[in-house]
Amino acid sequence: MAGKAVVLPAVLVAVLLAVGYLGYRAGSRTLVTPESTLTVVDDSGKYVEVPRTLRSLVVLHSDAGEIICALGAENLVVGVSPTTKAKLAPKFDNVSEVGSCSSPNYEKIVELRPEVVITYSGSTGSEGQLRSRLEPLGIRVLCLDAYKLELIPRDIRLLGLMLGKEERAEEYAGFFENLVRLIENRVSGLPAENKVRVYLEGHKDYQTASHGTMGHSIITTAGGLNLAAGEPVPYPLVSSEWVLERDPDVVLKNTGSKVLPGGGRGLTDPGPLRQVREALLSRPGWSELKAARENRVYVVSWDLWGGGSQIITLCHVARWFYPSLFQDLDPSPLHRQLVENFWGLEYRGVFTYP
Amino acid sequence: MRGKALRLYRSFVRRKLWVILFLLLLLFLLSLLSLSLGAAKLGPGTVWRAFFSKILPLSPPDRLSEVIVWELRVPRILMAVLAGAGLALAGAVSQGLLRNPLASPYTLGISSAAGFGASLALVLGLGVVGGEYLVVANAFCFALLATLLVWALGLKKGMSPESVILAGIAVMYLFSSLTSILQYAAEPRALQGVVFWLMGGLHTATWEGVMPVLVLFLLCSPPLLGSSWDLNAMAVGDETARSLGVNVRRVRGMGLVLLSLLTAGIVSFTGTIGFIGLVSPHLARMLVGGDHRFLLPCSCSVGALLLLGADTLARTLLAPTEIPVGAITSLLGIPFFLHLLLRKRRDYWA
Repeated sequence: MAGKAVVLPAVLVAVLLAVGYLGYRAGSRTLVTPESTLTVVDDSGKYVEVPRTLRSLVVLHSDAGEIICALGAENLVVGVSPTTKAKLAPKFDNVSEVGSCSSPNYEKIVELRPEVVITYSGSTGSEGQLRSRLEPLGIRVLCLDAYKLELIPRDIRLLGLMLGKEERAEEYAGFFENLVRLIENRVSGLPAENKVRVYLEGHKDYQTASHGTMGHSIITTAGGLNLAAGEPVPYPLVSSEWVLERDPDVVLKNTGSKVLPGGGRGLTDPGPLRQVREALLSRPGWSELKAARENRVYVVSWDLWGGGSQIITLCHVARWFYPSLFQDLDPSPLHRQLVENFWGLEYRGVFTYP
Repeated sequence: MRGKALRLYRSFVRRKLWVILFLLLLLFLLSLLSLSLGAAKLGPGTVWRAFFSKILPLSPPDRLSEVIVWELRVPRILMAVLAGAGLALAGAVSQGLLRNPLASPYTLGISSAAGFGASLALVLGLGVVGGEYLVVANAFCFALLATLLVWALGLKKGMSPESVILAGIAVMYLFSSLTSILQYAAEPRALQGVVFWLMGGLHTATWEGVMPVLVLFLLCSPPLLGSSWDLNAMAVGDETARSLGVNVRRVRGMGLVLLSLLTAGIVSFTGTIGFIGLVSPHLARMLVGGDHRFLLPCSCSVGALLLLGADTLARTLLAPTEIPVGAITSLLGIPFFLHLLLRKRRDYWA
């Protein structure tokens, strides 16, 4: 009897094995074959052979999506992630969704037959999985980490080259480089003892940012001293005591997407941002902080903390840190220029408070 | 009199075999259905032409459908069937070996150890081997390490069910706290990778993953299925089993190692898919009773059916967005489970 009970699964397994073996022999002919190619180095440091004239792209993150919009090449995009679609609406409203960076839908991507798929490097961008699955089919995987401010100009030029939009790319990359250079030049002469001491809080209460993070690089580029710079983990949770003891000159707060699901883009009044600020100030002892007494507690909506928008946060922060140095630097027109002139979207919303 | 008893016994056995056969037929039909569904819009005709073009001398419809069917859907379906069957088998055997209805393949801390191994690779890029299989190899090695720990601790305490379970709980908490520490130190983008891995899913299934899991299944399942008489004896108690000539320590030790090996292999490719290993054996027990000769193959079929069904829903319901398969397995399995639980008059476990 025991024999019979074992036979059934054994037969099933044998069938599986046979099917598996046949499938394993599946051919290696490619789906996409470009005529002439160009070899570029992506942000993962790998050489990627891309078609000289790109015809179709899948974009898995909005940081690359906005560069493609800025270069005027959105008509080549055949698939995007849901967040890219939402962040850059209505640009990609008629483009297929293909899942996100961390869980791309391979079936959908293959069906669209793009020449290149853009993702982040490393495990977050499913880099290894995407490469091993798509490259045998002739679909190239390009890793662009344009969430880092220092990589944005490089990625813009790379895409400009690939898309044949070098001139526009130069103009767009210049927008970033000029602003960063201007800010760096003006704060470069500041002596360390005159620098503002900053506490930055992410969307989670009491979660700050240490060295190597975007928040840290914005603070230091704008000439501030990040109080949590030396902490051992990138996003340490600190105690209220620690903040009170350090007594920062300036407090910066990222709203997070829970409070503001649509980001600052959809807002008409600063109510939600004001509430976030009031909640900070109502914490025990916080109204006594130097930053609170001098009215230097600032709230920035979460959608200004990533991709190209972080340049606008940098401008705001520089002005908040050193009003006298940056009297002529008005972030709002720059933000309008970024959203309207480069991305081709409507500029409206409330992004910072006060 | 004797003839009548024998006849009754035979029809009793035949009924159970029919149940298992019916489940296997259902599994076959579900695989066919699953093969023709997906995010890419291919008609059933195209799917079938593409499928049979590899088996029969037919020309494939086009390269695209061939790729979608043979490189994406078939390995994923196979992985669902193998993982479901393997986890359910491991669950049924561990419940039998430990005489505990709450035991599952994860009781020995395998999933949390594998999760820690994977997190090490995802967060710090540290691992036993480099390259593409870093995460998988790491998860597997740490799962084996957990097994070894539990086995050694259990051996020291004479392999009693209680000592094995407690050792498993200790190992589980050890690795999950290590994972929490790693997560705290992780960059958000790496953290997202860890969270996805821990949630588990079959969207990463490839032929390169199906083959090792298949080999492991073929190696581990025959001895596990073959231990059903020992398990039946042990169900009454270790003393009775011993008096019937069962080497309880050896059976329990070997069984635990084999089921851990099987689970470790599956988990390293799919991440931790919960529920299947815990509940499939109970569903099977309600269908065919506690005799392990039928319970083990029936658990395999139930597990495979549940996971394949859940994964098919996970990838089609909100396509192209995928729902975590763990969420669906519970949603799909719990109503059945409750129905069977309430219908049974007696306490089925005892």
